[in-house]
Amino acid sequence: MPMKSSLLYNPFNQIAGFSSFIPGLIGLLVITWLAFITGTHYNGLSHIAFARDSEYWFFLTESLSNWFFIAVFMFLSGLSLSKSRIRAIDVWGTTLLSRLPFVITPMIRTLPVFQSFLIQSWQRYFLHGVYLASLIWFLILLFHAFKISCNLKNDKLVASFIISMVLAEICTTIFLKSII
Amino acid sequence: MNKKLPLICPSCEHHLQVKQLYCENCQTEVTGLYSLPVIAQLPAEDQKFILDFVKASGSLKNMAQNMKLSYPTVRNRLDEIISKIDNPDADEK
Repeated sequence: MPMKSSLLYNPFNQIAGFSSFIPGLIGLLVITWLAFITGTHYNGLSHIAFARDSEYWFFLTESLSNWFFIAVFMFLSGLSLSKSRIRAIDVWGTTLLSRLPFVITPMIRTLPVFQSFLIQSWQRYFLHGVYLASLIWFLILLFHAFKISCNLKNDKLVASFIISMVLAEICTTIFLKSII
Repeated sequence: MNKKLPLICPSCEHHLQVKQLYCENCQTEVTGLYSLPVIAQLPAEDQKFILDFVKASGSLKNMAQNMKLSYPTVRNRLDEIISKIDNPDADEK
């Protein structure tokens, strides 16, 4: 059984529980702060927008809801489908740490050349490309987080991962639209 | 040389059983048909995990610390072994 795997795509063989929750929470606050100062909105997984149009609390609500609904649905999937005694802190912590790739886009936006741009500009396409890459990285991390913290395998793992993501996306979108 | 106890039949891949035992001291031979103990039927790495688990007084947290692995990784490994003990024929197919 290969226990040691790359920290880049699966750090959860080594890190889970509070060890993932604390750095994950710090990461989420850093992402939120960078998103606030650069006006980078994460509206669920399927949409990213650039506008300095909201107060800090709204960016924080976006970050928290993007994580919270995924964590809740994954935890419920684990509780109902896994034969293991899963711990909530493992699911909260590993899903939170999985969000770290989302720091890249707002970090790039702090560079002067990306601070203001037109809708049809290379900067916009570049940022969307970066976002897509960080989204793929996030999904790989999240999949491993779910697999390890909930101990699911094969069809159960893939089906419950997809269902959890879809339900979380729907809830996040409805929630964020309701508070705008 | 540290010889490895064969567990699976190389011909049909079923679990092997003990047919003969031998005393090195008095050369007594015992012939019969005995099943291997459940733990002896597990692969060597699973047996080592069980030993480590007992040495850690059954604490998965301590084991995770000693092995430098996360708690759910160690718990999943234990659950995998429990599953093998409950369904010893599951991995034969």
